[in-house]
Amino acid sequence: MRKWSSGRMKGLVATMIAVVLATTAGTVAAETVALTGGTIITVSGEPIENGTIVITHGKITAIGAEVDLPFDAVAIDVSGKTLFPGMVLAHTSSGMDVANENLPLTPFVDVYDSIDPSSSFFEDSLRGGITTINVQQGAGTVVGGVGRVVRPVGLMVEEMTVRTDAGLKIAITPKRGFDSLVQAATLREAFAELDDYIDGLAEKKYDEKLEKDEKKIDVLPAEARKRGRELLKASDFDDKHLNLWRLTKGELDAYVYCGRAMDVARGIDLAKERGFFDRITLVLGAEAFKAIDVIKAAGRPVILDADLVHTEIDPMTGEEEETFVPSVFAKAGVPFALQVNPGASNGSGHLNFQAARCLRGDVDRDTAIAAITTVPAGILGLSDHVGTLEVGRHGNVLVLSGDPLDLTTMVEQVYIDGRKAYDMENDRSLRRLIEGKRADMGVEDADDDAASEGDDAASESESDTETEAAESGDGSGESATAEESKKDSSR
Amino acid sequence: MRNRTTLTRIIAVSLALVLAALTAHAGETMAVRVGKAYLGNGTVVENAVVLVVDGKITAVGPGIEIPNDATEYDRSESTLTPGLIDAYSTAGVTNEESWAEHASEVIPHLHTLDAWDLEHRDFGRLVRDGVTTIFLAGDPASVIGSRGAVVKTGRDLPNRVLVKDGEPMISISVETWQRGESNRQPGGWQQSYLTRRPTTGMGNSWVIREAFYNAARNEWGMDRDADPGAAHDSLVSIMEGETGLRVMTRRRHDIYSAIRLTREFGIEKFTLVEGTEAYRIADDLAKYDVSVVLGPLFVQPDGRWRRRAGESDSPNLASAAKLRDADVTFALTASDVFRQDPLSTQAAIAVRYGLTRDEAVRATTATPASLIGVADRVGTIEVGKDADFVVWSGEPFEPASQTQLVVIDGHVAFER
Repeated sequence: MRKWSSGRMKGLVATMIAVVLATTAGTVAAETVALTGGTIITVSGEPIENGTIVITHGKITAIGAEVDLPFDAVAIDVSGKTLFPGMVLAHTSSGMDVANENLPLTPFVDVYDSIDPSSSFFEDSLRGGITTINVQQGAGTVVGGVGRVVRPVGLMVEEMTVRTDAGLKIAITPKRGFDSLVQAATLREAFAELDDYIDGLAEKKYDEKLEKDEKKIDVLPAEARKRGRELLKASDFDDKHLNLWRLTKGELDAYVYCGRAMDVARGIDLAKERGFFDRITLVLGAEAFKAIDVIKAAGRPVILDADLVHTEIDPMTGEEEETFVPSVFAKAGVPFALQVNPGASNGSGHLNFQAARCLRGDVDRDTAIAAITTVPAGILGLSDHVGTLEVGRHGNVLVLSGDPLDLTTMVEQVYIDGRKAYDMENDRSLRRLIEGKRADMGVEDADDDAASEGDDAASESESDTETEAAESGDGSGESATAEESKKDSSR
Repeated sequence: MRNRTTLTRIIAVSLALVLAALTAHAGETMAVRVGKAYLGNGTVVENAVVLVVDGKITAVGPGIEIPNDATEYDRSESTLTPGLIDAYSTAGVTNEESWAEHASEVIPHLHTLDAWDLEHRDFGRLVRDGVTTIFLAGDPASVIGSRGAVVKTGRDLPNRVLVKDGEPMISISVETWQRGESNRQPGGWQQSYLTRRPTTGMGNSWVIREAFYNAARNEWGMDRDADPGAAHDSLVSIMEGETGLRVMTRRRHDIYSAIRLTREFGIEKFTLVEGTEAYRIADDLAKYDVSVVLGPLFVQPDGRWRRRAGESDSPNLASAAKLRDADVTFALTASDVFRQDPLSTQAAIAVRYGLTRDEAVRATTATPASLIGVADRVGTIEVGKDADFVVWSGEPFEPASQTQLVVIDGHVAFER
């Protein structure tokens, strides 16, 4: 069994960004991997032709055209392939058993308890070359729980975790069937109630201090509360209030969902009023582009809706009008991160496909690539760890058959922290989608001429699968195989 | 009966002639210069000029002189394809129930066109997506559905209908009996005289068999179980091969049922619509000369009924390439998901999983044109054809490409 992570960090005491280092001593398999001969798209600099990437203990230790291979490196020839950093998804509500709590205020929950490592979403992400994923609650709660940054490998959340404590979800847009009045009131009440709670707690805390110091009451309650506030520690809070308190102290990120243009200014105002403006990321709906001036003035990071085209029907003329949203942001010079479209039924919702679509408008190639690498990495506070191919970064490398923004490019291999997490050759689900239905399920159709031919093809592909399953037991792609066979048996 | 049809035809033709005379613009010339043109017939021309006079293509090729009076569109960086053609579309359906006929499940004498709003905004969307001609098919909720129609997506109304009496569509799919689940009225819960739909696949096949059986016996003046009524003419015409037939079905064994049922009544040829599992029996489809209107392509199904039909659990992204390998004639369709995954996206997925770009162009232009019987007018960039074409900002179907110019009958229907 591999030891991928150093264990779950206690997010509650972490006041700074808690990055769980991926690699620890004692990992099995090759310590040093060298991918040689590929075209490297570093994202941070110019592409390198015929380049080599050396990954040691999960981190990139050398990159360039002229690189001496360490004596113990396992060299993997990737000539003719394109190497690209593992893509970063700054926000998703997939991969959880249920994305939304049915209470309006749930800052005390953590998506940790809801992430399903065997969800097909993670399998799809790996297949699509996404190696860093921020799982956030859906926008169905007013204040949701704490998110978590994971990689799509591992059978336990601990194993998957890259960063705990990855921000609270706050929805300015009400969920379906609710209105903005109640949404705003609920948000205000939540913070007003927090104030009351803190007042009470602070006064109590100050009184306790007086008692401890054997002093008598020396100030009026208002002053006592003020002084008491200075004494508050995280451990004084109950679960219900802790994360909101941390938020107002600027100790927690917030993902503020603004589905409509009208919500943007309100979200920003709330964050400013409550002191967490510096930690917000705006998660926008398609229509929110109309507030581009407000968004630009705020200067906070932006995550665009998966639906890149906003379609609107003019109420006067009945004409349909389309806006290509990334163009609006590119023109305004506002960097953005992209999301996958879980509704796309045929893979057209994948992150690099989304980035490629951006090129339609006035978005240049660098901006489109940044939207799936460096910008989301920055949003997650992982700029020094993922999103580019540079010395010191995590060894998250995609081996692509061509340019990442080309339609026919396939993700052939995925390395996460220097380990091969995916190999297209062993991807049985993909093979099924390309080669066809598993033959053993069609054998009973013997009523036609084609059946006998079909059976032959069947037994061939079946034996192939068995061989590959045996081959993949070499430690690389272990979890992927396990996940696949689990899926397989349920089929 | 025949006489009346002839009379109708004469009136229709004279009306069309009058309208054509009224709408013709004397000597209106348009020239479009592009970096690359896919002609739809397998030819790709670099640095091509397409010349259009009065809505028809008059010249195409690299070294064509542009007349002085021509309106010139210089798109030398761009790529041109024929206007895309979707051989099965539900665009323009304003209300789901408005096109599902509840009075009978055998309605090949009704015309889909009568239920359509040809000014629906769906058509604007199709134009923007580069689709210039579509086949409006009947609702698969009918067992033997209404006659389809071929229309252009843009342009002034009188010139838009290319085929009024398109082929009707038989449905051997779950739609037919799911809407009649528990034998109830579709869309409602009340039992009534309208609740007369088959509730199983067996019943579905029986309705088809019964309809053709009665029509045949009626035609031959023999005893029949029931009067086929108004459906008689269409059913006989299908059996005699005068009217084409399409069958919507998805699963392998349902496709075989379609082959069996049609052969049973001497119907030599039909077009398979959707055909999710067609890839599994591609060789047999070639053998029985079944053409396929394939799509939408998906991993997990989308769309109204498809998702819960239970007929879509063996999709294949490489279906198109497999049909090509088996020499099956096929066109791609975005069907009812044209809003989310338009025809260009269907083609993109087909290209990603094995089709060449030119094959994908043909599967969305020339092939559907011939499958829906309008190959003499649209589907390729050739002299004499309607000037329907799309200029793409890059290679067609590439996610980074978008439509820049959509021309229908020599008129700019959309420009970006």
